[in-house]
Amino acid sequence: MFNAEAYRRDFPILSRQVHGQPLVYLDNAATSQKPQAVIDAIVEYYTQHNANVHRGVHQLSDESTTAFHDSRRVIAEFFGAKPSELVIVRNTTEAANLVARSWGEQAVTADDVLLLSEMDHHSNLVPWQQLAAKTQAQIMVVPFTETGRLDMGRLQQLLTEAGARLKLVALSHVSNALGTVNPIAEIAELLADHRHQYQVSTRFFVDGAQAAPHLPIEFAKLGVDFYAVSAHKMLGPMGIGAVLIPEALLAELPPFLYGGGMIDVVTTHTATFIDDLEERFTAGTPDVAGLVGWAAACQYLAKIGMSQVAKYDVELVELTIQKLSQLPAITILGPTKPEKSDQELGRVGSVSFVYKGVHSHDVSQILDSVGVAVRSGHHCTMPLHVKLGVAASTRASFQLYTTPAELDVLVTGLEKVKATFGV
Amino acid sequence: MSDLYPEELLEMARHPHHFGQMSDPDQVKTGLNASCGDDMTVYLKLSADRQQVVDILWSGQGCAISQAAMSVVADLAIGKTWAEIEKITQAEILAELGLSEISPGRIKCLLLGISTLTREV
Ligand SMILES: Cc1ncc(COP(=O)(O)O)c(C=O)c1O
Repeated sequence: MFNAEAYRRDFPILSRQVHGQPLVYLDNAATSQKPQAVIDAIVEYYTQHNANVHRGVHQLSDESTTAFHDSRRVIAEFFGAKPSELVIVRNTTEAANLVARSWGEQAVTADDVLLLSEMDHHSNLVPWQQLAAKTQAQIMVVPFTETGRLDMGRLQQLLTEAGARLKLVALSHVSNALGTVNPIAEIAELLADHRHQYQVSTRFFVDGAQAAPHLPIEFAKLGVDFYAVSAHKMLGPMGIGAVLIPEALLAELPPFLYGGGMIDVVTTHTATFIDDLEERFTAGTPDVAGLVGWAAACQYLAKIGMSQVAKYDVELVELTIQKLSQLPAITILGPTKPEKSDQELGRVGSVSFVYKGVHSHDVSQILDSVGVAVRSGHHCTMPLHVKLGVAASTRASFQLYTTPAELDVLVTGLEKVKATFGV
Repeated sequence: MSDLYPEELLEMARHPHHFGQMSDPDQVKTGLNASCGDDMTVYLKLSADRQQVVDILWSGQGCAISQAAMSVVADLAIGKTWAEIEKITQAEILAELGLSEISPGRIKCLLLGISTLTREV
């Protein structure tokens, strides 16, 4: 059995109190907490090994360089990718910007179509909108259905409509507001056919920010061109993330940032750039401590096993849906039942809801008074909220340390909302 | 619950003051808290020299705090000149709501009404 109680002891922050009550942290989709192993790895790096990488011929620099490469290897392996395919950035948002600049500005022209999704996070919309504005490319948008799933029928129509003009599909693996798991491998196959049929090189960018914390990711098998993640949502530190790019594609891309570390030969007026893919995309001093911390998070998760983590997460999601469905004032956003064709719920990580007659900020404020931390607002998904006709929602989101008892505290808090506002 | 949502505030949120739309306003101002999804529209009747606010109606949607604070602001501002309205303080609005302080995350909610009212157009 999955022992969330035991894992809780690995997370020092979970033993603190807020407003005199035990912390019930249900804002994991915004950022997760960090286990002692991650905190220790970062502290150990700075107390024992800190030095710049690749630059010095001395003991500490060697240790730091080893830590740098070892960490990259652990992180890449965690995602089923090669270390050379791991381009380090600050977060998912930066990953999208990097691809929009490095790939987009050279590949996209006024004849092209960028296919985006209505359920996506602003981070996976705005960089592409900017790219479209610069290149005059056309944006098309895949809607989601009434049950909160990607409209696959419409997606296929749009693929045909765009035809040879389709340059990019940008989509989240998991929606941060609906929890919906999108069929990435299936869409990757559709796109493989599309490329073949139209003899084009349509690219597939996947925002994995909410998938990486809850699902096993096998990058080599997904068939996508860009897969973006943030360490901080998967038990790692803030300020580090990555975009995974297959070697063959990466070799075609120009560097994103220029400067030290990624050059071959520099004169005062010219420079040539290193062929080694890992170094080509590492301009300047890397965040070695961040990498070390992230690698520790990957090891922590790998030891438990992502398929176990995923299974437990679905239990929490189902339990939350069951509990919230009993409160008449609450409407749950996103899928609540398996679709007929398969038996899986197809939803992970979070449950967002609207409390009839009470604004999500007030719901959150009252939940906070009983120690429950949730997110309120539009969760950086304004188009999604506009489509649903709600200005804002409240989101409870989970991690492997979330317990069923905490969901009961959530329900108690919601009863307090009723007591306060009388609705 | 008295600390978070005092009765004054809840009462004001349930029964807002000066709520509604004006058919012939002298000025209309709108405000938005994008991150909350709150919006506010303020309709004004002004004196002939436009220096004094003669009447206010407002409409909008948002949390209990932004809505109740707008009621307070309307109560405080009607009959005042712009120079006097500029002097309305955060503490004054809080006091009318029965609150002594507000958390950093809710300041924008509290101030949506007054900032909409005093916005340059
Ligand atoms: C689906 C999704 N995409 C992108 C992001 C952006 O992540 P970050 O803030 O780490 O760049 C988030 C996080 O809020 C997210 O949930």
